Amino acid sequence: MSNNTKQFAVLAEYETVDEILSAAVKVRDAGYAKWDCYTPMPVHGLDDAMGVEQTRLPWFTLCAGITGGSLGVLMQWWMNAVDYPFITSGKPDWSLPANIPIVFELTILFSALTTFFAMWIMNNLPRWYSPLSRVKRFARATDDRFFLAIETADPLFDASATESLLRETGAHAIESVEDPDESPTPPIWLKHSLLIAGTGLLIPLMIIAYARFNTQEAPRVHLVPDMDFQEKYKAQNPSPLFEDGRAARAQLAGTFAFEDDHLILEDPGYYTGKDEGGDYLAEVPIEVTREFLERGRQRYAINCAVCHGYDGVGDGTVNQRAQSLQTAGWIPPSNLHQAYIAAQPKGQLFESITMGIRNMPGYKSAITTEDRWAIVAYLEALQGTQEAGARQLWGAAPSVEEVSPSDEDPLVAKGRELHTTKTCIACHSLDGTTLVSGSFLGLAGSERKLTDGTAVVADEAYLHESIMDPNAKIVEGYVPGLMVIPPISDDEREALVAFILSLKQ
Amino acid sequence: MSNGEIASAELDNIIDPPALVQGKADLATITETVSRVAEHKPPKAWYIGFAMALGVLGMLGMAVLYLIATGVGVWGNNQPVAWGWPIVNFVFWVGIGHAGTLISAVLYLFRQGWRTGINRFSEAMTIFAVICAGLFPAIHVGRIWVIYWVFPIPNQMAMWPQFRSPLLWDVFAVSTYFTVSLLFWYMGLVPDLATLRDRSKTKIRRLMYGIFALGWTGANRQWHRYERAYLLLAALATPLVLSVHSVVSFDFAVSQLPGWHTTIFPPYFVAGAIFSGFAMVVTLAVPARALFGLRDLITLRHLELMNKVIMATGMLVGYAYAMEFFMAWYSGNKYEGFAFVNRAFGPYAWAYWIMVTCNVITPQIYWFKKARRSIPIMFVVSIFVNIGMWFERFVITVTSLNRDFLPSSWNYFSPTVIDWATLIGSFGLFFTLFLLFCRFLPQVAIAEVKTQTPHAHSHSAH
Repeated sequence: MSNNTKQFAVLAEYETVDEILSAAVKVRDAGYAKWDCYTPMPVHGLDDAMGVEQTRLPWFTLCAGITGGSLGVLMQWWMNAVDYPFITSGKPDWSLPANIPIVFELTILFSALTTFFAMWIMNNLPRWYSPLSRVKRFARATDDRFFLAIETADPLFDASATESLLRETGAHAIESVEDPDESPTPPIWLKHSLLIAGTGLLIPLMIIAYARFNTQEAPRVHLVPDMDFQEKYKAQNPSPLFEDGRAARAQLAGTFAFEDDHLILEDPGYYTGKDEGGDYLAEVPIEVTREFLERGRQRYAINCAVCHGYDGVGDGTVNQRAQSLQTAGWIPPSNLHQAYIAAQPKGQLFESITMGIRNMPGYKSAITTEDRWAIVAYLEALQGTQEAGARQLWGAAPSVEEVSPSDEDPLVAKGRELHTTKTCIACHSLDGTTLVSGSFLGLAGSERKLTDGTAVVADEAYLHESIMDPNAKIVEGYVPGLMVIPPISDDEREALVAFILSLKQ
Repeated sequence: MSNGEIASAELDNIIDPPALVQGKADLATITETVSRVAEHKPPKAWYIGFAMALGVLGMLGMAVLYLIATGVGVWGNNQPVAWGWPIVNFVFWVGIGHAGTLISAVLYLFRQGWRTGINRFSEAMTIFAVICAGLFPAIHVGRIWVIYWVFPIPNQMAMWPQFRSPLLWDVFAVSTYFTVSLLFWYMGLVPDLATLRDRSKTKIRRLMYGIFALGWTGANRQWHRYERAYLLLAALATPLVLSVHSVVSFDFAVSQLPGWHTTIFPPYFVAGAIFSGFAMVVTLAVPARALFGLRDLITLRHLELMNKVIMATGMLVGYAYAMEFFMAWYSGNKYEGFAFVNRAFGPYAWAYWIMVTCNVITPQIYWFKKARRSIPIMFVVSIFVNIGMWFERFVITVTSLNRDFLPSSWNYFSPTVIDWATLIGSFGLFFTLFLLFCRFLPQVAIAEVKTQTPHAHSHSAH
């Protein structure tokens, strides 16, 4: 530190509040501007005595409060109603009352932070060094003495005049405050550690920002990955715990998976749709009344209509959505008015609802047995609405003979039956409409354009190959890999091909 | 004594209350009394207490590490009581914190000069209690390393928090509360840190106190803005403290559970918070003033006034207990009715009656002036109130949950060893911080107490 110093201020010491108050009035009246009183606690009346103007601090607080509140509204609106809307049971995306608590907290938070920091900034703090601290007696300014300092920077300052003014105020001691040319500065290690700490605090935020704006292929890293790797055996995995080496346990003989399965033994027809001989029941085993049908209509609307549609044509909202997304592999719900379904005995319909069919899940545990029969009964009424002109409402279901021409080749008739029972019908219609894949109507003998640019005629050999190896030749506009090889014998395949050939146009 | 005499004696007491600062109360003595605690080796009791607190804190650390490494299954929380001790402890600690803000902010706005003796360490108590409180929801989330998801920070899932959830209101309320309390406390400390800086004999003390004193010199132009900022912060902290426990009560009140879904919760929770907080201040002040020789600054009058607040808020809480039962009956809602009959006479009747005994009956002793001014009595009562208020939160949380809507789910909640270790450990955290505060920082607001002495006022001008 250099020895060159210059005068910074004149400091006067007082012992009581009354002394400093009267001194302050005198200095104020003398017209000084760059001076201050130093007291161990706030002294009532000193602001007036010094002529200190009211601070503008409250205006900063007010502005910060308004900013905080407005930002709170905007942030919640943008985040919860615009950028990532939280959809909660049809409630409005934006409803102010539930957002008020956070608006309130942010108003307070912004106001408080601004008040705190603005006060220190307006007070020119923090400051590493004050020339006054070079005066030993000034240490008592934070203890029990009162000081008044007039700075040399004041335009009215005059070494002798100022000192005599202070002497007139009754100061107990008067001292000149010297300031070296070079003021002490904070040690270098303090600056460095602040810099390192400040940078360190930014690292987590930078990691989060990096993660936000980058796509990761790898799964999230968890410090404790106990939920990613759980110690448990899943159903299809091997397990050393049991003799048969399987994690899943088979159902024990003589037990039932469902609570009322034992009733099957008492009345198999009612609970399975099949009589003791394994044949489907032709009729609903409950008296069909108007109330029963109404019950069936309700249950159908609740459980079935989402896929099959209220009118049963298979155009429910789930199907519409899947079609609009063009979901690969989507098997559309059946049109319940198709002849093969209308021809099914009631017991078979009941079984389909109970156990599920294709991608439709079983509704055994979701709908009671009686209600499932009610739906079956209602289905007949529903089908009747579409075929009212073709056959008598409430009449007997059309037999298979009615559906297929009676003079048909037996092989073709067998193929027609297999087309339904082996579920080809789910994707390949017989009436020219496109389901998942092309219709069989008019397929035989037509020219097929393949994806490799060549063309083939759909002859008998082509049909055989397409059933056995669906991906061998891919027709333009179709997705490979969708069709599964049907579990059929060679004879059955012969019958199917014969049936498809019979649909030649 | 006739009635008239009693009245005039009371009147005298109001006009000329016993001095807030007793003994030889000049400015230098006040500085010396408070500062010497931070400047000299503490009494033996401090070392014993600190060693114990550190040990218990270590237990908390182990319990929390075990919890994070294993999962929240190590607690007794399970269906139907999915909110067990963590939320009980959270509400308990937040409530304790509220007395500090009430003393420092609300009493400041009401110009209650007696707050100056106790505001510093009740504010410190607030901050340490909120730290303890914040610990519980933080470790309850399970995967604490992704807890930043509760804040509206852009994250890798491109999702934002659900701002309409009371649990998120909690995040904002408690973190705002902690921030504002810390600013308020630190701002009050700055002039006193300057005092310690100016008194310090060694270089390291001068440097450390000097850094945190920010170069404060006590200039009146600075005092002017400082006092205005202090008033503003007090005015901001007052609605804040009311909002925080209201928001905490929304965690319960906004859900549709009998026993929780009531509109009385916000005021009832706030009253309970002040009640428990004042009790904690008494619990801490009684040994601290004896141990550190602060009897002249934290006088019997301070303690008596606090005991009056404890009695008043205790009766408010008792009124809320009664009102809950009245509303359960008057609403005609049989589920609500069942929840409350079950609360008082069900499997947790023991907890309910501990709560009523500690919170409603015990403070009634303060009708007697002798009891209000008796150190042993007030210490015991304050401990009773602390216990009672912990049980209040336990009763509200557990009795409402353990009888679910499905009788087949009904279950009796039992805490595990880890539950106990975390609760007791949180006291270790609290007392470690509090004892460090007692050792190194001015326990009484030196500058503020000085304003309450005759030396701070002009005798000629007025």
